[in-house]
Amino acid sequence: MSLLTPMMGGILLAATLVPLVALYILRLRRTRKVIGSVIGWKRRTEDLRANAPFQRLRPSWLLALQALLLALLALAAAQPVIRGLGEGASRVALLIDCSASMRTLDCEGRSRLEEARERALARAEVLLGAGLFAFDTPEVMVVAFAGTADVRAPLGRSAARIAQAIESITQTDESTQLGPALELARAHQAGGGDDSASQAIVPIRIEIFSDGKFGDASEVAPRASETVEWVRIGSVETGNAGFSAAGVERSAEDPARVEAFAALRNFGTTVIERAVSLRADGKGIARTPDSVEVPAMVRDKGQTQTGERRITFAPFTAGGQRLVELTTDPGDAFTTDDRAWVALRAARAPTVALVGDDASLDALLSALPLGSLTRLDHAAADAAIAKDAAWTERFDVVVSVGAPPREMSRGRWLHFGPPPALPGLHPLPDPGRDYARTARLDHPTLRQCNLNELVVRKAHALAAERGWTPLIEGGRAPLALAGRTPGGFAILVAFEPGDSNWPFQRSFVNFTAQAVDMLAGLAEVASEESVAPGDMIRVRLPDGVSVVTVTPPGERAVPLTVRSSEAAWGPARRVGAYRVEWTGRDGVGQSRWVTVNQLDPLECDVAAAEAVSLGGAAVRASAGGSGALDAWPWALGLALALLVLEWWIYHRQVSR
Amino acid sequence: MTALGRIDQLLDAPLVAALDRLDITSRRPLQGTRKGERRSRRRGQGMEFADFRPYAPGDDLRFVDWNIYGRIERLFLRIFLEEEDLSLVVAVDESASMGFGTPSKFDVARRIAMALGYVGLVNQHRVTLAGLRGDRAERLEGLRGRRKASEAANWLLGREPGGALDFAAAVRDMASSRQGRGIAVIASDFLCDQGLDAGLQALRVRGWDTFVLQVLAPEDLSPGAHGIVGDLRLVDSELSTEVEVTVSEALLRDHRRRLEAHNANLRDLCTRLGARHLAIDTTADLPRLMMESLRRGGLLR
Repeated sequence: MSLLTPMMGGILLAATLVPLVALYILRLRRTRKVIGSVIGWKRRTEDLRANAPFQRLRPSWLLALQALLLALLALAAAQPVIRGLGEGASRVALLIDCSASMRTLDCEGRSRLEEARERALARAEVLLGAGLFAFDTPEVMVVAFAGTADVRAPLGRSAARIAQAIESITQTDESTQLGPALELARAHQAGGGDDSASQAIVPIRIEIFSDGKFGDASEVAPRASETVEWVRIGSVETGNAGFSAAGVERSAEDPARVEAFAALRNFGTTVIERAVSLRADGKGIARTPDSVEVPAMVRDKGQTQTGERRITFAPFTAGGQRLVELTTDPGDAFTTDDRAWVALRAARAPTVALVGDDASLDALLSALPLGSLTRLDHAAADAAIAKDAAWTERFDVVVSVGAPPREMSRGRWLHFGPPPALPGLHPLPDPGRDYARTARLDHPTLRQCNLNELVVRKAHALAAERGWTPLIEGGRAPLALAGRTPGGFAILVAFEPGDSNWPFQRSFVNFTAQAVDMLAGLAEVASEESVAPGDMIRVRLPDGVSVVTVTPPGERAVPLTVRSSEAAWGPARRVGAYRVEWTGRDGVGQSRWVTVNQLDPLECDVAAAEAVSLGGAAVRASAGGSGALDAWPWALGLALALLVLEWWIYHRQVSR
Repeated sequence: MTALGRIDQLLDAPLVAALDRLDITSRRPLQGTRKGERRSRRRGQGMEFADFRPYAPGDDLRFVDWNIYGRIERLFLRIFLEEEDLSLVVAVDESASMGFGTPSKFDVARRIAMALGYVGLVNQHRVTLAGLRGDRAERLEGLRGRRKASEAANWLLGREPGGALDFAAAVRDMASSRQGRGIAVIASDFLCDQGLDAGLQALRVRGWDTFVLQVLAPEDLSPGAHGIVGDLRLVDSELSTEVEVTVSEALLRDHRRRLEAHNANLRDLCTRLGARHLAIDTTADLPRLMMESLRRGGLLR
């Protein structure tokens, strides 16, 4: 047990015990009264006041009880707390999870974030609530974290500031990454002085208020100077069902014909029923005739498999761009994935340039319903790019094969062959044979693609940094990647079609057509169609655009600054449809939708973790938010009991 | 302190008329030094027949019962109880505590002493008035006959309460001063812790028929109603002993309980030593006290 405000208790004890003893020492100046005899009279004094010093201090039960009572009151004023293990750190970081899963309403009707804030406030009250007379008060900081982390309050001892910081934490729909929050906490471990002594690492206790679903739990680990404690928020029994995917596509044959599909998944242990509604620009389009059953999650030998159910809607007609919204009915405790938004681009046949000579590609592109197909050789393409860096912007998609063009930093590229020199890509020597080991078949470019028979005779190996998404993993290196370039987007295939058996497979047709379709879609909406919560919204704009605004869902429009024909805003922390508007050079206003959906399976599995392991090390879980038991109510209660006893003895003496 | 200044304040005419009909009575036959109006165990020339006994040569023939001789022709002698004079000692506690009360306990005790003395005088008893003061008993002795009443009254009017009383020593002094035995009446508040047993025991040993009159004032019995309130330092009038009190209902109840226990101890002591005890409130009516209480108590008849 330790005292939060021992000075306060000491002052109180000194200020009251001395007067109490003085009251027993000082004597009352009594009226002298001569009577016949004092037989029958017994000394009985109940001095509540005194006007003459002094008398001998006589042993008294009342004095002893009153002194003990004052001691207990002083002890209560000193705020004794019974601390658990790990208490006593001079620095405490309160890490509060505000990710999407914390929106779950499973804390007696309140969200997990509200519960986390309340527990963190209680904890801060214990740490800093001692006030002016606090002794050995730790420094406390507040970090809010989801996909990223930010310090809401740096290390300090102001209870009001900490409370304000905790209260200011708002809900996001991002996935949970603990690493950035830990890094921020660690950044404050060093002392604040300039000398080496004050720069020494000070042990810090990190208290995480979260449901425990960290996407990077295996990548972070506590350090020796850290004590990490996890306060579980939410129930481990909470289930959830919601969208795992949603999409709309225009028919290749009839661009005005739109096909929509969705996938539902169930993280619960019981089969659930959901109806799904589809609306376009707020107008109801379709609804599943009856509730569809979504199978329950299956646990087998420690592995879990969520229940999945795919839904395909009947095609509908929509020529222009649309914002398609899908909702499940009924919803559940976690509403973030009960809705999904998809931006449908306007129907328009893309314009494509083919750079290089490849018969299979030429034949395939010729068969696609394109607006135009321009064929160039490498020299002509390099000359055009040298003449006008924005030449590639004239085409929705540039397909190249063979040697990489001189400049691929602008435009939307589908390239087959040796990898170009782009940031984040590192070509490796010795191309060789390879095969498709795994593939992201849920990627828009790889739907309906069977790559089991793909064999590559000469694949160019390359290493890719973060930011590039491997679409097809080969035995040695990625065979296909997708990623953002400085001025556009590129899908790279590390081999030429002629160096593989791919042109003879249906997946080649599907992949190429879907890649062109996707890249053309990027061009059409001038942005990525959908991003995850926490990502930046980046908008590529035509030349001459100056005024751009983005309107987050339910909020006011925010003006954006255009640099190099690109505007960025974010991160987009909430799911929903963000409307990007601009005025073109011709003065005509245009707008596009950018949708943000939370489809992360780890984040949508909202059952609170039963245990947390960071980097393989188990983290101690705490049931409560305070981590310490206040003992002052017991001292106060004991003092009250003593008061009753003292009162009883007093009356017993008086009435005797 | 004392309000009595004249004889008629000690004994007024109506009371005198009532007292003329009373006499002192004793529970036991007494032995005096001269003939009086009181029978004695010593059989002799008194007027009250006691017994017969066979005649023996040398007996006074005046006491032969000739009626018996006429019936059975044997000589029997009539034996009479010889009448002796009654010695009455009325002692008044003159300690300082007797000066308290309205009227004061001392005044009431003097009036009682005067009344009893008067009864003794008019009945030709030998009356002694005593004032118990310190460790001595100051006496007015040898009073007999009605004409001595004024002397007794003047003596009593001249007494004043004061000082502390050594009850045992004073009573022993009183008891040892008399030859023979008699009735001793002690009027006091008996508010002392020590000496009661020894004093009363001394009277018993010397054959006194003791009558204890405990005179208490309302101030003793109900101090709360007579100015004993608040935070006080109570000072004993005799011993100067001080007791600090904060007067409360509980304390007054405690005082009453203690005083009753003290009085009960006194009564028990009197019973054990063959003395009679009568508690008197100073507010009591003196004629009524004399005519009823003391007669009922066996001191007067």
